[in-house]
Amino acid sequence: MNAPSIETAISAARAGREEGFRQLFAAHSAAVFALVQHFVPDVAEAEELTQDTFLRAFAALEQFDSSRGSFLAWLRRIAYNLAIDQLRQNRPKEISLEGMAERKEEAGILDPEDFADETQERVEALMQAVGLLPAEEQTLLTLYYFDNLPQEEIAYIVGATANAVANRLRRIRKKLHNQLDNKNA
Amino acid sequence: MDKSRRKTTGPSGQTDMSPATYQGGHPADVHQTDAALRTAIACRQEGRPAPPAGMEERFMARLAKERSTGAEKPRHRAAIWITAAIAAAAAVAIAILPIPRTEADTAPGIASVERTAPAPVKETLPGTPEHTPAPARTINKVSPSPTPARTHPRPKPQVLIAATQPAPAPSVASPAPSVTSPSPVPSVATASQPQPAFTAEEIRLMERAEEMRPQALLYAAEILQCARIEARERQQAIFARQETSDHKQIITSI
Repeated sequence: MNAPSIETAISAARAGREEGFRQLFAAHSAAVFALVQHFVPDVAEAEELTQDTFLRAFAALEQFDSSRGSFLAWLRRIAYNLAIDQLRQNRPKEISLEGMAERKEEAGILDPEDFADETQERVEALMQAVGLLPAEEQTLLTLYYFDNLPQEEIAYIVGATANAVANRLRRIRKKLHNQLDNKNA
Repeated sequence: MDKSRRKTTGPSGQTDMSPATYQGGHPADVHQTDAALRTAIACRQEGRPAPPAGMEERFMARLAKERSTGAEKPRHRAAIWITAAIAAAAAVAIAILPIPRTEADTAPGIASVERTAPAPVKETLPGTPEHTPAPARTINKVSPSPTPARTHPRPKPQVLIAATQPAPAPSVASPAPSVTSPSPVPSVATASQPQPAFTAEEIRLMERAEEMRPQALLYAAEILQCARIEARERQQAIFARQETSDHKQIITSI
Protein backbone atom coordinates (compact mmCIF):
# COMPACT_ATOMS: atom_id res chain seq x y z
CA MET A 1 0.00 0.00 0.00
CA ASN A 2 1.63 3.21 -1.14
CA ALA A 3 1.62 6.51 0.60
CA PRO A 4 -1.27 8.15 -1.32
CA SER A 5 -3.43 5.11 -0.63
CA ILE A 6 -2.54 5.35 3.02
CA GLU A 7 -3.51 8.99 3.10
CA THR A 8 -6.80 8.20 1.40
CA ALA A 9 -7.51 5.42 3.84
CA ILE A 10 -6.69 7.69 6.76
CA SER A 11 -9.04 10.35 5.44
CA ALA A 12 -11.78 7.77 5.02
CA ALA A 13 -11.21 6.47 8.52
CA ARG A 14 -11.31 9.97 9.92
CA ALA A 15 -14.65 10.40 8.16
CA GLY A 16 -15.83 7.26 9.91
CA ARG A 17 -16.07 5.12 6.81
CA GLU A 18 -15.55 1.42 7.34
CA GLU A 19 -13.46 0.86 4.25
CA GLY A 20 -10.85 3.22 5.63
CA PHE A 21 -10.46 1.21 8.80
CA ARG A 22 -10.37 -2.02 6.89
CA GLN A 23 -7.69 -0.82 4.47
CA LEU A 24 -5.47 0.46 7.23
CA PHE A 25 -5.79 -2.72 9.22
CA ALA A 26 -5.14 -4.90 6.20
CA ALA A 27 -2.06 -2.90 5.30
CA HIS A 28 -0.38 -2.77 8.70
CA SER A 29 -1.73 -5.51 10.90
CA ALA A 30 1.01 -7.97 9.99
CA ALA A 31 3.77 -5.54 10.93
CA VAL A 32 2.11 -4.70 14.22
CA PHE A 33 1.48 -8.36 14.89
CA ALA A 34 5.17 -9.12 14.31
CA LEU A 35 6.21 -6.39 16.70
CA VAL A 36 3.97 -7.43 19.56
CA GLN A 37 5.04 -11.04 19.17
CA HIS A 38 8.35 -10.10 20.79
CA PHE A 39 6.45 -9.37 23.94
CA VAL A 40 3.59 -11.87 23.81
CA PRO A 41 4.60 -15.13 22.16
CA ASP A 42 1.05 -16.46 22.42
CA VAL A 43 -0.72 -15.97 19.11
CA ALA A 44 -4.13 -15.19 20.62
CA GLU A 45 -2.64 -12.64 22.97
CA ALA A 46 -0.65 -11.12 20.14
CA GLU A 47 -3.80 -10.82 18.04
CA GLU A 48 -5.66 -9.16 20.89
CA LEU A 49 -2.81 -6.75 21.44
CA THR A 50 -2.74 -5.98 17.74
CA GLN A 51 -6.44 -5.24 17.75
CA ASP A 52 -6.00 -3.08 20.84
CA THR A 53 -3.34 -1.14 19.01
CA PHE A 54 -5.59 -0.39 16.07
CA LEU A 55 -8.53 0.48 18.25
CA ARG A 56 -6.37 2.90 20.19
CA ALA A 57 -5.04 4.38 16.96
CA PHE A 58 -8.45 4.77 15.36
CA ALA A 59 -9.82 6.39 18.49
CA ALA A 60 -7.01 8.96 18.36
CA LEU A 61 -6.79 9.27 14.61
CA GLU A 62 -7.15 13.03 14.72
CA GLN A 63 -3.92 13.24 16.68
CA PHE A 64 -1.86 11.54 14.01
CA ASP A 65 0.67 13.92 12.52
CA SER A 66 2.23 12.68 9.33
CA SER A 67 5.05 15.20 9.64
CA ARG A 68 6.42 13.36 12.67
CA GLY A 69 6.51 9.94 11.07
CA SER A 70 4.70 7.43 8.95
CA PHE A 71 1.40 5.92 9.92
CA LEU A 72 3.09 2.57 10.45
CA ALA A 73 5.66 4.14 12.76
CA TRP A 74 2.82 5.69 14.72
CA LEU A 75 1.09 2.33 14.94
CA ARG A 76 4.31 0.69 16.06
CA ARG A 77 4.79 3.31 18.71
CA ILE A 78 1.32 2.63 20.09
CA ALA A 79 1.87 -1.11 19.88
CA TYR A 80 5.24 -0.84 21.60
CA ASN A 81 3.78 1.14 24.49
CA LEU A 82 0.87 -1.24 24.90
CA ALA A 83 3.19 -4.22 24.74
CA ILE A 84 5.55 -2.71 27.30
CA ASP A 85 2.62 -2.03 29.62
CA GLN A 86 1.39 -5.57 29.27
CA LEU A 87 4.88 -6.94 29.72
CA ARG A 88 5.30 -5.01 32.95
CA GLN A 89 2.01 -6.32 34.22
CA ASN A 90 2.82 -9.93 33.41
CA ARG A 91 6.57 -9.97 33.88
CA PRO A 92 7.71 -12.51 36.49
CA LYS A 93 9.80 -11.05 39.25
CA GLU A 94 12.44 -13.76 39.13
CA ILE A 95 13.63 -15.87 36.23
CA SER A 96 14.90 -19.24 37.28
CA LEU A 97 17.47 -21.30 35.43
CA GLU A 98 14.74 -23.75 34.52
CA GLY A 99 12.78 -20.92 33.00
CA MET A 100 15.80 -19.94 30.96
CA ALA A 101 16.09 -23.48 29.64
CA GLU A 102 12.41 -23.48 28.75
CA ARG A 103 12.82 -20.27 26.83
CA LYS A 104 15.68 -21.82 24.88
CA GLU A 105 13.50 -24.78 23.96
CA GLU A 106 10.66 -22.50 22.96
CA ALA A 107 12.98 -20.65 20.65
CA GLY A 108 13.70 -23.91 18.84
CA ILE A 109 17.42 -23.50 19.20
CA LEU A 110 19.59 -26.38 18.10
CA ASP A 111 23.09 -26.97 19.28
CA PRO A 112 25.48 -25.14 16.94
CA GLU A 113 27.81 -28.11 16.98
CA ASP A 114 25.28 -30.01 14.89
CA PHE A 115 26.13 -27.77 11.96
CA ALA A 116 29.34 -28.27 10.04
CA ASP A 117 29.16 -24.86 8.42
CA GLU A 118 30.87 -22.32 10.59
CA THR A 119 28.59 -19.52 9.43
CA GLN A 120 25.54 -21.57 10.06
CA GLU A 121 26.91 -22.46 13.46
CA ARG A 122 27.38 -18.82 14.24
CA VAL A 123 23.91 -17.92 13.07
CA GLU A 124 22.41 -20.59 15.23
CA ALA A 125 24.43 -19.43 18.20
CA LEU A 126 23.21 -15.90 17.59
CA MET A 127 19.63 -17.05 17.31
CA GLN A 128 20.02 -18.74 20.64
CA ALA A 129 21.56 -15.70 22.23
CA VAL A 130 18.96 -13.34 20.78
CA GLY A 131 16.21 -15.58 22.06
CA LEU A 132 17.51 -15.05 25.56
CA LEU A 133 17.49 -11.28 25.31
CA PRO A 134 14.72 -9.24 26.90
CA ALA A 135 11.76 -8.45 24.69
CA GLU A 136 12.67 -4.78 24.43
CA GLU A 137 16.15 -5.59 23.12
CA GLN A 138 14.78 -8.19 20.72
CA THR A 139 12.38 -5.56 19.42
CA LEU A 140 15.20 -3.10 18.89
CA LEU A 141 17.23 -5.65 16.95
CA THR A 142 14.25 -6.63 14.84
CA LEU A 143 13.33 -3.06 14.02
CA TYR A 144 16.90 -2.27 13.12
CA TYR A 145 18.12 -5.42 11.36
CA PHE A 146 14.93 -6.93 10.01
CA ASP A 147 12.66 -4.00 9.36
CA ASN A 148 15.63 -1.79 8.48
CA LEU A 149 14.21 1.22 10.17
CA PRO A 150 16.44 4.21 10.73
CA GLN A 151 17.45 4.90 14.27
CA GLU A 152 15.37 8.07 14.35
CA GLU A 153 12.21 6.13 13.58
CA ILE A 154 13.10 3.46 16.12
CA ALA A 155 13.63 6.24 18.62
CA TYR A 156 10.17 7.58 17.80
CA ILE A 157 8.62 4.14 18.28
CA VAL A 158 10.27 3.35 21.60
CA GLY A 159 10.07 6.88 22.92
CA ALA A 160 13.77 7.61 23.18
CA THR A 161 16.38 9.69 21.41
CA ALA A 162 18.33 8.45 18.43
CA ASN A 163 21.53 8.52 20.43
CA ALA A 164 19.97 6.41 23.13
CA VAL A 165 18.86 3.90 20.55
CA ALA A 166 22.35 3.78 19.09
CA ASN A 167 23.87 3.22 22.51
CA ARG A 168 21.41 0.48 23.34
CA LEU A 169 22.07 -1.28 20.03
CA ARG A 170 25.79 -1.07 20.69
CA ARG A 171 25.42 -2.59 24.13
CA ILE A 172 23.24 -5.38 22.77
CA ARG A 173 25.77 -6.23 20.09
CA LYS A 174 28.57 -6.23 22.62
CA LYS A 175 26.58 -8.52 24.88
CA LEU A 176 25.93 -10.93 22.01
CA HIS A 177 29.56 -10.83 20.96
CA ASN A 178 30.72 -11.66 24.45
CA GLN A 179 28.28 -14.52 24.69
CA LEU A 180 29.58 -15.96 21.46
CA ASP A 181 33.17 -15.60 22.61
CA ASN A 182 32.39 -17.35 25.87
CA LYS A 183 30.69 -20.16 24.03
CA ASN A 184 33.63 -20.63 21.68
CA ALA A 185 36.19 -20.45 24.48
CA MET B 1 16.14 5.04 3.55
CA ASP B 2 18.21 2.94 1.23
CA LYS B 3 17.36 -0.53 2.36
CA SER B 4 19.46 -2.30 -0.24
CA ARG B 5 22.54 -0.48 0.92
CA ARG B 6 21.93 -1.35 4.51
CA LYS B 7 21.10 -4.94 3.74
CA THR B 8 24.24 -5.53 1.66
CA THR B 9 26.68 -3.54 3.66
CA GLY B 10 25.07 -3.80 6.99
CA PRO B 11 24.82 -0.90 9.36
CA SER B 12 28.45 0.01 8.86
CA GLY B 13 27.28 3.28 7.43
CA GLN B 14 25.74 4.16 10.77
CA THR B 15 27.85 6.20 13.09
CA ASP B 16 27.39 3.87 16.02
CA MET B 17 28.71 0.95 14.03
CA SER B 18 31.98 2.42 12.87
CA PRO B 19 34.97 0.33 13.89
CA ALA B 20 36.48 3.26 15.72
CA THR B 21 33.53 3.57 18.07
CA TYR B 22 32.50 -0.04 18.40
CA GLN B 23 33.99 -1.64 21.48
CA GLY B 24 32.89 -5.20 20.91
CA GLY B 25 36.13 -6.64 19.63
CA HIS B 26 38.00 -6.83 16.39
CA PRO B 27 36.40 -4.90 13.55
CA ALA B 28 36.31 -7.99 11.39
CA ASP B 29 34.31 -9.76 14.04
CA VAL B 30 31.97 -6.81 14.15
CA HIS B 31 30.94 -7.15 10.55
CA GLN B 32 30.82 -10.88 10.84
CA THR B 33 28.64 -10.61 13.90
CA ASP B 34 26.42 -8.02 12.25
CA ALA B 35 25.88 -10.06 9.12
CA ALA B 36 25.21 -13.19 11.12
CA LEU B 37 22.95 -11.22 13.44
CA ARG B 38 20.92 -9.94 10.56
CA THR B 39 20.54 -13.46 9.22
CA ALA B 40 19.71 -14.85 12.65
CA ILE B 41 17.02 -12.29 13.25
CA ALA B 42 15.58 -12.85 9.82
CA CYS B 43 15.43 -16.55 10.54
CA ARG B 44 13.72 -15.91 13.83
CA GLN B 45 11.19 -13.60 12.23
CA GLU B 46 10.52 -16.12 9.46
CA GLY B 47 10.02 -18.78 12.05
CA ARG B 48 7.39 -16.76 13.85
CA PRO B 49 3.75 -17.62 13.27
CA ALA B 50 1.91 -15.49 10.77
CA PRO B 51 -1.15 -13.49 11.81
CA PRO B 52 -4.01 -15.91 12.27
CA ALA B 53 -6.59 -16.20 9.55
CA GLY B 54 -9.72 -14.15 10.00
CA MET B 55 -8.01 -11.58 12.21
CA GLU B 56 -9.24 -8.77 10.00
CA GLU B 57 -12.87 -9.82 10.19
CA ARG B 58 -12.69 -10.29 13.91
CA PHE B 59 -11.18 -6.88 14.27
CA MET B 60 -13.85 -5.24 12.13
CA ALA B 61 -16.55 -6.85 14.22
CA ARG B 62 -14.88 -5.63 17.39
CA LEU B 63 -14.45 -2.18 15.91
CA ALA B 64 -18.14 -2.00 15.02
CA LYS B 65 -19.05 -3.01 18.54
CA GLU B 66 -16.68 -0.46 20.06
CA ARG B 67 -18.02 2.30 17.86
CA SER B 68 -21.63 1.47 18.72
CA THR B 69 -20.91 1.53 22.44
CA GLY B 70 -18.74 4.60 22.04
CA ALA B 71 -21.68 6.49 20.50
CA GLU B 72 -23.73 5.86 23.61
CA LYS B 73 -21.02 7.15 25.90
CA PRO B 74 -21.65 10.88 25.31
CA ARG B 75 -25.36 10.53 26.12
CA HIS B 76 -24.56 8.52 29.21
CA ARG B 77 -21.98 11.10 30.21
CA ALA B 78 -24.47 13.94 29.70
CA ALA B 79 -27.02 12.19 31.89
CA ILE B 80 -24.44 11.83 34.64
CA TRP B 81 -23.52 15.51 34.41
CA ILE B 82 -27.14 16.64 34.53
CA THR B 83 -27.81 14.50 37.59
CA ALA B 84 -24.73 15.82 39.31
CA ALA B 85 -25.67 19.41 38.51
CA ILE B 86 -29.17 18.96 39.95
CA ALA B 87 -27.78 17.40 43.09
CA ALA B 88 -25.30 20.23 43.49
CA ALA B 89 -28.00 22.86 43.00
CA ALA B 90 -30.19 21.19 45.60
CA ALA B 91 -27.31 21.08 48.06
CA VAL B 92 -26.60 24.78 47.52
CA ALA B 93 -30.26 25.66 47.93
CA ILE B 94 -30.50 23.76 51.20
CA ALA B 95 -27.37 25.44 52.49
CA ILE B 96 -28.26 29.00 51.47
CA LEU B 97 -32.03 29.41 51.68
CA PRO B 98 -33.40 30.42 55.14
CA ILE B 99 -35.26 27.86 57.21
CA PRO B 100 -38.94 28.78 57.78
CA ARG B 101 -39.45 29.84 61.39
CA THR B 102 -42.41 29.71 63.75
CA GLU B 103 -43.99 32.71 65.39
CA ALA B 104 -42.39 31.89 68.69
CA ASP B 105 -38.95 31.83 67.10
CA THR B 106 -39.25 35.17 65.45
CA ALA B 107 -39.93 37.29 68.55
CA PRO B 108 -40.08 35.16 71.62
CA GLY B 109 -39.55 37.82 74.22
CA ILE B 110 -42.01 40.36 72.95
CA ALA B 111 -44.69 37.79 72.32
CA SER B 112 -44.34 36.51 75.82
CA VAL B 113 -44.76 39.89 77.41
CA GLU B 114 -47.66 40.92 75.25
CA ARG B 115 -49.65 37.80 75.93
CA THR B 116 -48.98 37.51 79.60
CA ALA B 117 -49.16 41.14 80.58
CA PRO B 118 -52.95 41.50 80.36
CA ALA B 119 -53.45 38.60 82.74
CA PRO B 120 -55.14 40.11 85.76
CA VAL B 121 -53.76 39.38 89.15
CA LYS B 122 -57.10 39.16 90.79
CA GLU B 123 -58.26 36.31 88.61
CA THR B 124 -55.31 34.09 89.25
CA LEU B 125 -54.53 34.93 92.82
CA PRO B 126 -57.68 36.38 94.27
CA GLY B 127 -56.45 36.33 97.82
CA THR B 128 -53.20 38.03 97.10
CA PRO B 129 -52.95 41.78 97.55
CA GLU B 130 -52.18 43.70 94.44
CA HIS B 131 -48.86 44.99 95.64
CA THR B 132 -47.64 41.56 96.64
CA PRO B 133 -45.14 40.08 94.22
CA ALA B 134 -46.17 36.88 92.55
CA PRO B 135 -44.85 33.66 93.96
CA ALA B 136 -41.63 32.30 92.55
CA ARG B 137 -43.23 29.19 91.10
CA THR B 138 -45.37 31.23 88.79
CA ILE B 139 -42.48 33.25 87.58
CA ASN B 140 -40.45 30.20 86.83
CA LYS B 141 -42.86 29.19 84.13
CA VAL B 142 -42.12 32.36 82.30
CA SER B 143 -38.44 32.48 82.82
CA PRO B 144 -37.33 30.08 80.03
CA SER B 145 -38.63 32.46 77.45
CA PRO B 146 -35.66 34.26 75.92
CA THR B 147 -36.16 37.96 75.97
CA PRO B 148 -33.56 39.56 73.79
CA ALA B 149 -35.86 42.43 72.87
CA ARG B 150 -37.56 42.96 76.21
CA THR B 151 -38.46 46.56 76.68
CA HIS B 152 -39.76 46.91 80.22
CA PRO B 153 -37.59 46.06 83.21
CA ARG B 154 -38.40 43.48 85.81
CA PRO B 155 -35.67 43.64 88.42
CA LYS B 156 -37.50 41.88 91.21
CA PRO B 157 -38.64 38.81 89.28
CA GLN B 158 -35.13 38.26 88.02
CA VAL B 159 -33.88 38.10 91.57
CA LEU B 160 -36.62 35.71 92.49
CA ILE B 161 -35.86 33.45 89.54
CA ALA B 162 -32.21 33.30 90.40
CA ALA B 163 -33.01 32.46 93.97
CA THR B 164 -35.47 29.70 93.26
CA GLN B 165 -34.36 27.87 90.13
CA PRO B 166 -31.73 28.55 87.49
CA ALA B 167 -33.34 29.59 84.28
CA PRO B 168 -32.75 27.17 81.41
CA ALA B 169 -30.73 28.37 78.48
CA PRO B 170 -32.86 30.04 75.87
CA SER B 171 -33.32 27.84 72.84
CA VAL B 172 -34.77 28.65 69.48
CA ALA B 173 -35.88 25.10 68.82
CA SER B 174 -37.79 24.73 72.08
CA PRO B 175 -40.10 27.63 72.64
CA ALA B 176 -41.16 28.48 76.11
CA PRO B 177 -44.40 26.94 77.23
CA SER B 178 -45.92 30.26 78.11
CA VAL B 179 -45.36 31.60 74.64
CA THR B 180 -47.70 29.39 72.70
CA SER B 181 -50.34 28.68 75.27
CA PRO B 182 -52.10 31.36 77.22
CA SER B 183 -51.12 30.98 80.79
CA PRO B 184 -53.71 31.52 83.51
CA VAL B 185 -51.08 32.05 86.15
CA PRO B 186 -49.60 35.45 86.83
CA SER B 187 -46.64 36.29 84.78
CA VAL B 188 -43.73 38.61 84.78
CA ALA B 189 -46.01 41.46 84.15
CA THR B 190 -47.97 40.54 87.25
CA ALA B 191 -44.89 40.25 89.37
CA SER B 192 -43.60 43.56 88.21
CA GLN B 193 -46.78 45.50 88.75
CA PRO B 194 -45.95 48.99 89.95
CA GLN B 195 -45.97 49.34 93.70
CA PRO B 196 -48.56 51.61 95.36
CA ALA B 197 -47.47 55.18 95.09
CA PHE B 198 -45.81 56.90 98.10
CA THR B 199 -46.60 60.35 99.09
CA ALA B 200 -44.16 63.15 98.53
CA GLU B 201 -43.43 63.32 102.20
CA GLU B 202 -42.67 59.67 102.39
CA ILE B 203 -40.39 59.86 99.41
CA ARG B 204 -38.58 62.81 100.91
CA LEU B 205 -38.14 61.00 104.18
CA MET B 206 -36.83 57.94 102.46
CA GLU B 207 -34.36 60.01 100.53
CA ARG B 208 -33.32 61.70 103.66
CA ALA B 209 -32.89 58.40 105.38
CA GLU B 210 -30.73 57.22 102.55
CA GLU B 211 -28.60 60.29 102.90
CA MET B 212 -28.33 59.93 106.64
CA ARG B 213 -27.50 56.26 106.57
CA PRO B 214 -23.71 56.65 106.07
CA GLN B 215 -23.54 59.34 108.68
CA ALA B 216 -25.48 57.19 111.11
CA LEU B 217 -23.08 54.36 110.43
CA LEU B 218 -20.19 56.67 111.20
CA TYR B 219 -21.86 57.76 114.40
CA ALA B 220 -22.50 54.20 115.39
CA ALA B 221 -18.88 53.27 114.73
CA GLU B 222 -17.71 56.23 116.75
CA ILE B 223 -19.99 55.40 119.63
CA LEU B 224 -18.83 51.82 119.53
CA GLN B 225 -15.24 52.92 119.59
CA CYS B 226 -15.86 55.24 122.50
CA ALA B 227 -17.54 52.47 124.38
CA ARG B 228 -14.57 50.18 123.78
CA ILE B 229 -12.14 52.86 124.99
CA GLU B 230 -14.23 53.55 128.04
CA ALA B 231 -14.40 49.86 128.86
CA ARG B 232 -10.69 49.46 128.48
CA GLU B 233 -9.98 52.46 130.71
CA ARG B 234 -12.38 51.14 133.25
CA GLN B 235 -10.64 47.79 133.28
CA GLN B 236 -7.27 49.49 133.58
CA ALA B 237 -8.56 51.52 136.52
CA ILE B 238 -9.85 48.42 138.21
CA PHE B 239 -6.61 46.64 137.63
CA ALA B 240 -4.63 49.59 138.97
CA ARG B 241 -6.80 49.80 142.00
CA GLN B 242 -6.33 46.12 142.71
CA GLU B 243 -2.65 46.39 142.21
CA THR B 244 -2.45 49.32 144.60
CA SER B 245 -4.36 47.43 147.20
CA ASP B 246 -2.01 44.50 146.82
CA HIS B 247 0.98 46.77 147.37
CA LYS B 248 -0.63 48.19 150.44
CA GLN B 249 -1.14 44.73 151.84
CA ILE B 250 2.51 43.83 151.24
CA ILE B 251 3.67 47.00 152.87
CA THR B 252 1.37 46.39 155.73
CA SER B 253 2.65 42.87 156.16
CA ILE B 254 6.25 43.96 156.14
